Amino acid sequence: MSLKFMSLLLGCMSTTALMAAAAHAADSSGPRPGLLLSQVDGAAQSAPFDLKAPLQSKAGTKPASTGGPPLMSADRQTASSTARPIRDLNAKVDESALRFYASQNDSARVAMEIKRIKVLNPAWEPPSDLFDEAGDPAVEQKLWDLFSEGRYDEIRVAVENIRHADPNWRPPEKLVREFDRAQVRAQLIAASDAKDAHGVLAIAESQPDMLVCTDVDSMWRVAEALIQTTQEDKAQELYRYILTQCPNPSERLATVQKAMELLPVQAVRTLMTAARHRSDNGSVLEAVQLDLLRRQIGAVASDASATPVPPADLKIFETLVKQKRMSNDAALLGWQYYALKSWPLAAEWFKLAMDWDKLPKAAEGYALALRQQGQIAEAEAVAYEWRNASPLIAKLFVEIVATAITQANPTSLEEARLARVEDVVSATRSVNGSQALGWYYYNKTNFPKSRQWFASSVGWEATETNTLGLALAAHRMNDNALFRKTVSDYGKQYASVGALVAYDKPTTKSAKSAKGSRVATRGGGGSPQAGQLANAAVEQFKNGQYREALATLDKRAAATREDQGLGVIRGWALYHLNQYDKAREKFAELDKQQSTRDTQYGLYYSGAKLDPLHRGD
Amino acid sequence: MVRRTGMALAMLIAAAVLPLGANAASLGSERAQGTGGLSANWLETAWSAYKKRFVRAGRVIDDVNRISHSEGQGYAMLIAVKAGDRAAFEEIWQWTKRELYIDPSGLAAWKWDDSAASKVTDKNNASDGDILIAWALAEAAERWGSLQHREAARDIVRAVGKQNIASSPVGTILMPGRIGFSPEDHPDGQILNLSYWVFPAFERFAALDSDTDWADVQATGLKLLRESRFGPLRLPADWISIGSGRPAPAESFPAKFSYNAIRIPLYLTWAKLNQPELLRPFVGLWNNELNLGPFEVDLSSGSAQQPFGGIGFKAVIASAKCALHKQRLNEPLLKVETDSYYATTLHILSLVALQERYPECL
Repeated sequence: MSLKFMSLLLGCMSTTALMAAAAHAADSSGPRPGLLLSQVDGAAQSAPFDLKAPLQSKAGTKPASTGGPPLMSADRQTASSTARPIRDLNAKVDESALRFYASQNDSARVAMEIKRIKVLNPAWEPPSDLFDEAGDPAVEQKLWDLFSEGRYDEIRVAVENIRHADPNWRPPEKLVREFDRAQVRAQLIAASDAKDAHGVLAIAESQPDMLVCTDVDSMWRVAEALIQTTQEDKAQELYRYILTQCPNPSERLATVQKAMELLPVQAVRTLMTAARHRSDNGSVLEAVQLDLLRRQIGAVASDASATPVPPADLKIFETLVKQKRMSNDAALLGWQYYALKSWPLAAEWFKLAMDWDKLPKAAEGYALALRQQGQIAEAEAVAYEWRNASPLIAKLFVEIVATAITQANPTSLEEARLARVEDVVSATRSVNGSQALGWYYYNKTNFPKSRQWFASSVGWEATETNTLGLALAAHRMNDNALFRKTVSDYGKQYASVGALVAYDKPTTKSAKSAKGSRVATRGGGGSPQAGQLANAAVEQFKNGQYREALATLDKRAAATREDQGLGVIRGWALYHLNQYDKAREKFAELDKQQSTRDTQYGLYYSGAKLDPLHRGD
Repeated sequence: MVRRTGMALAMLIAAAVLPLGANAASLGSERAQGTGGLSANWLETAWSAYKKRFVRAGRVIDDVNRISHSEGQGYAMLIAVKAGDRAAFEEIWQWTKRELYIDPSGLAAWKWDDSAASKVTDKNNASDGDILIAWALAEAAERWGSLQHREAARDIVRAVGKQNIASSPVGTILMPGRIGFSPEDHPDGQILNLSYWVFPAFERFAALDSDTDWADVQATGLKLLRESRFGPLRLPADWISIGSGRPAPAESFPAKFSYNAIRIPLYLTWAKLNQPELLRPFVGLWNNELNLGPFEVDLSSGSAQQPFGGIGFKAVIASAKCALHKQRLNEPLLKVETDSYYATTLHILSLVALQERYPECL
């Protein structure tokens, strides 16, 4: 009950104290019993940040404080100059012993010393400030101790106890004010922690003397609340106030860093210009500027359409990076150029970063940049070398190889290269890699190997592609049990697998006819001319002359009907000319007439539109 | 005439005690090893010597001023009841009642002079005397369960409340006497004596008299005390005026910290105020290491004047040092030596106060 009463009491007193303090500031001519206050209270050196003041023009970097501080300092000067005459008179008297005794609260010796000095200097007047202000230093110190430990409830109790015995006693004004401020501050922090930006601002506005340099943390929180309520300009003003008014260099640095997290780059640059007017922390700000540049470069790296870094700044940064061999920054530059599709520059920076420090990220970037330049073999070599440094690089390696071997017309891989791919695929349990190997062996008509890789792939993670591959490989090996199981397990889920049901009538003929190359070599059609045209188209296709092959096929189709073998060739020719939709259309048409592994295979690839730049599983 | 009365009372105490330097020697030595505090019957012994020296058939004699007064009667009654000497207490109280409570006001005449024909020549009271007597009676009522003491105490407290308590711009004040201290009597306004606020007595008075807000009286006293820090040494004056709204050394009296105000730290130590820090300006008045002071102090300059004459004044400061710094009492102060009436009284009372409030310092 009385606790509540005390808080009310303190509340009332603090208001009075605040009013008194305000009256003080306004009336500089009056007596200043609170002189001690203004000496102790360092916060009085700057006017608090005015949250309600209209925004200053953006061009000016004038400090946010206005007439307040100069007025105060002028006032102080007047006070000391009026005090001077008496002190001059006393100048020749050595008061050191006197002050020492007073500091010991040794009144007996003080009184004797005064008596002694007065005998020698009758005109001398003892100083009036020998002892501390008449307050009650012991109890006040106790209250301050509690205050500094944040034991606010105990302060209330202590004040209540004293006032119980002596209702006229008042806690020191400064304590009441600080107590009040601490309470409000606690509220502000609570609102800030609860992300209640409007609450934070309401509290800060109700307590105008809160935004001062002794409490930079509160100002940071208010700035954040301003940004959350889309008052970036005001937040920028507040940051500027800290940077130009507050004395603690590390707090100013932290302020720039906070601003960097929350404000656009351009706003931060403006702030840093303001901060640079203070020469004391130039080197620290340099580091901040580097951070700012890094942030800009990073923005471009993750989104090529972001505001480009000014070339001059970039040049300075690059020079510094090379000078100091900053590998992380080199990698950052690599990613920036990668995003900008400047592959050679990207590769160059990644390479530097790799050379300076064995950074897996840089190696990954380097391999990617090489691949983008078409240096597939080099990319594969780098990725293989670094495969154990990071799972991402191992994945990249598999991907590079998988792309190479799943081309419609793959070249054979030498034994060693194949073996190392298989090792990495097994080690990384790569779904994509294993199904690529499945198709590779399928195309090489090594069906046991094909079945083995598809089985592994399905075991790691079933996809339409690897289940389809597994069913087809099983079919080609006449492993009917596996074929049926695969179709029944995945047929409902994947339509292309379900369509294979048609295969489940083993006709030796169709099996035989499908045997051999998936590229049909039958002449088809009656006339010898049609036969010649068919042979020519196949030859052209094999030579990679896809357009020519298509023209030949068209010529032939005008004369006679195109069989499935030539239809498949047409589909792949379209595919290689990047006409995926047409290719898919063709494969679908053929598949409708008669679904074979050739039509299925074609459907899959044309549907997936696998292209050499395609990344990821 | 009225004003002269007040002056006379004040000057009497201020001029009181002659220095007794010889007795004050070698108090600074540290507590000897192996001695532990007060002897069990120290108070009986001290009281016995006190009676022999200062009490005659219930009349307490201020040997320096060679008179008796209500204050002395009250102090002696208080020591008697603390010492458990009911017979002596009764004798002193009866004398006091018979010789001093002779005015219809119900307040004691402050001075009794054996050399004067009528003994009591001034029927004005000194409120601290009445307060001390009433306090002693209240203590007696509690100690011996005696209703008549309680009633006597109540009557005096009520009389003080009616005639010496007044409201003023600074709060509820205790006037030093019925006559002679009011704003009409002095150009600098109401005159007060902060050493008349016997704080430990007020704790008892609230239970005896509900007509007066004794807590308020106490609060005003503490407030004035806090504001009465004059000169470089920040000490209260024996006599203050409050005409300006804030206390100032009274113009009709020397601006001195002297034989009146020296009692203030004793009362602050004794009362349950929870404010030992109020003692800070007083605790340095005696440097126990050098055995320097306490001095009467000229407040405007802060200059030392005569040392207080008597060990008892050092005991008062020592008790304050205990209350503020938990500093133990110096060994020589544990024994009450033969001294003047006032010094001896304050010495005994300091030890009683420490026994009751801070036994750990003994």
